[in-house]
Amino acid sequence: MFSTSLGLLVAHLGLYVLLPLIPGVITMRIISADRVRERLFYILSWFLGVWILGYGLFLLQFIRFGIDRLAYGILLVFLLVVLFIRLKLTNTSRKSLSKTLPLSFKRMIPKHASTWYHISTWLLIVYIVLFVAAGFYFVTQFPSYADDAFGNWHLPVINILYDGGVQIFGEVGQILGRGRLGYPVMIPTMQAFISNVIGGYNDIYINIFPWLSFVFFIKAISLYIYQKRQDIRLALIAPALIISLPLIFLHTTQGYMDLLSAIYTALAIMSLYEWLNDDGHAAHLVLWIAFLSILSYVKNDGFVVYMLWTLIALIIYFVIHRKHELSKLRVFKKTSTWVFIVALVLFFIAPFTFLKSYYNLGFNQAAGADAGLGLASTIHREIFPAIWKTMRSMNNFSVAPLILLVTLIISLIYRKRIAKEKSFLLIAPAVILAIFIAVFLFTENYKFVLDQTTSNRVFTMVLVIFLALMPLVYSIDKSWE
Amino acid sequence: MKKYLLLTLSLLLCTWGVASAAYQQQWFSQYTEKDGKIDFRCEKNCVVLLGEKGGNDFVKVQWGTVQWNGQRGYGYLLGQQIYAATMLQPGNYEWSFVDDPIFKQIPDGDAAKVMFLVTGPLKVEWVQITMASRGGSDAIGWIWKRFRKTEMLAPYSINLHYWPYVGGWSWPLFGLIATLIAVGIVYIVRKKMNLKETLRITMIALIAVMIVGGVRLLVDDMKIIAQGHKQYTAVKEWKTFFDLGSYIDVTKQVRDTLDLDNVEARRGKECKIYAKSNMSRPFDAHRNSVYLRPCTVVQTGSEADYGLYYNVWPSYETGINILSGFNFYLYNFRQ
Repeated sequence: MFSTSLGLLVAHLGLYVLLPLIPGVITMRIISADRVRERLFYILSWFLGVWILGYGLFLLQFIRFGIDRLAYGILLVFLLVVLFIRLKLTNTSRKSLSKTLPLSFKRMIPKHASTWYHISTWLLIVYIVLFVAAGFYFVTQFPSYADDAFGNWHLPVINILYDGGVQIFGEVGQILGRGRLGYPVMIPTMQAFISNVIGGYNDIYINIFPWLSFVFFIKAISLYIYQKRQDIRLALIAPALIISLPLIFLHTTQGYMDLLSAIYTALAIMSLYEWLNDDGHAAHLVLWIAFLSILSYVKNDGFVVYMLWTLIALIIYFVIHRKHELSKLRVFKKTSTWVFIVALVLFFIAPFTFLKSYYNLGFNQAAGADAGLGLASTIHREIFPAIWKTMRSMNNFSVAPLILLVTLIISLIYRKRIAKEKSFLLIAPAVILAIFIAVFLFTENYKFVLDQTTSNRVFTMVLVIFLALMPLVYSIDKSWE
Repeated sequence: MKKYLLLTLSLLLCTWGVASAAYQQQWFSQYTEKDGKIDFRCEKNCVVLLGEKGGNDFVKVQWGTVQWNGQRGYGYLLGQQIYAATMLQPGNYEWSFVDDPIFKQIPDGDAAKVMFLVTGPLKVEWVQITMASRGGSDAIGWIWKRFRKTEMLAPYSINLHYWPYVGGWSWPLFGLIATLIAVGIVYIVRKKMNLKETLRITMIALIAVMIVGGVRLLVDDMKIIAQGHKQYTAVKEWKTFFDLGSYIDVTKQVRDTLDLDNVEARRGKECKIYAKSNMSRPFDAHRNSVYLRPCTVVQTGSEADYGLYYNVWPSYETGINILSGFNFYLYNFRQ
């Protein structure tokens, strides 16, 4: 359980990268997302593949497959068949990937950049690399530590591993991961499968997954921002700000799903933003729906929190920009769009929703009677001093809320010069934040703000989403360059 | 202890008024104060009222000769409200008000009176208690000290991170002030600045403050890693890991003995274990969920196959001791 060796490390790293990547690449081809540029394509493939693998193995449990190589093989064959049908039906040839990005940082730095530009860029690189290296040491040398990682996420992994699979039907208490039953078991299923391939559960290397997710995420956002702005320093500011959030380091080294929720929300918003751009392709819309569907069960509140509220942000966007943007919605008149939507919902959302309904599993077992979405009898204004105290004196968010505030002020003052599709980048985190506050203000969930544990995590993740997209907001207006 | 001190303070509120020296004091069997140095003898509960916190920043206590085993502590008094006392460790001690979690709870901190509390029997040859504000090089040293102060890994760390502080300012407050100063300096240098430039400089300053704070936090992370390396990675035997102590090492021995890591051999076989420890969270979360799987942790020894006692004496000894170390025992109840 606590063994470490170079061989085990390479095996874990290799399998955590490759096993999700293969189904991810096939799925990206299915949804024609090869319009995404090369390296970003592989990173997004990995993020998609993690859940294709997790959900795929989970779905195979319904027909009593194990969590073994056979199940993985069946999943790959299924995906390849779907890809083949897709290519035949749409008569699409495998196009070569579009332009690739320069490979080295040196080539990314403009030739005539100032000395200060060089120094600041390399300082940012050193800072990010040190953070990533520190995280790597942590997840490859130390055992899991934070206790929710055990009860919520590692317990299903080890149960599924020793059971040889997920028990879908049976007595409550014996089904799913036999832990907190309302918690999604797709990531634990994937981790149990990788543990099975390696030959055992490892309480140290199990945390490679959150670290790897974070590393790929900061790589994805910096590549994407560079792609949009051709400014490597600006592209590095987003990851540098995210790693400067006080709570992020431990979230990259422990099996919690909050950071993963933020990552998929940011990726969903990024895909949607790409679709909203003038040259946006329907594949980006499908990718957005895929990430949005994944968000429904990253953790138990993903469905209500991130998925629904990202949708609300989109509705607000279309209401504001209805004159110019409504034509984009014509894509929903196409049958192919609805085929993808139905397929993605059936794959990602329906099975676990069905099980939760079948077993009458509650919204949040961890919070017990404290949790609920019913309206409170009073408005809980006491949350504001609590939030202010958390922000001002406890230093859980550094100055990120001030950066958020200044960005909102700038975008309000210069709103007429902001490209319309980019306003979505601000609407999305603002809506998520506003609805979080509304939930705490008007429901019995206000308790989670007062004891600060939940609110600290929630607001940190909202800030991750905002900071990941913020540099794109500053590309809105040429005069800011 | 806390209740006792509160009772003492309640009585004190009724009878306050004795002011025989620079500090107000009560119930000492012997008390002399000269040039700020105090000799005293306290049999039961005694109090020195240092006065209002006012503009002071810290209290420093230096001890001469201390006899007997009494306890020392401090607390605050605001109107009729007493804020619970904190015990002081033996030896010279200095506490800053901004660092004190009890002081942070007081709504009007500057108006609170600071109390030095003694529970006898305690006889002290001299003690110097100084409440003062910082200034000059001392202030800079203190600001630097607070900025450097590291927060180690703790069970709450995933949800809370307090540092760095710059003197009495939290990092966000410092960031706001630093940003305003930066904008001010640029305004003075350029003599003219439009709204766009102001917002641009504000944003650059905030980003700089955030990244500097992040680098400072990375130092915390590095120190945690160094400590973890020293306790866990570099050690061959009897590893410890922060507040989990030797729990991981004990778990490893138990798993090896019961062959719990052998997935194929263990699959489908039932196994129940009774685990007892003198510690709860986070030990029980680890133990009951993952550490002893695939065995199920049960509530009583009578329904278990094995019994694990960590930091406690075995209480159900019907089986055979199959493994033990200096702070744990593993029993097989079915043999």
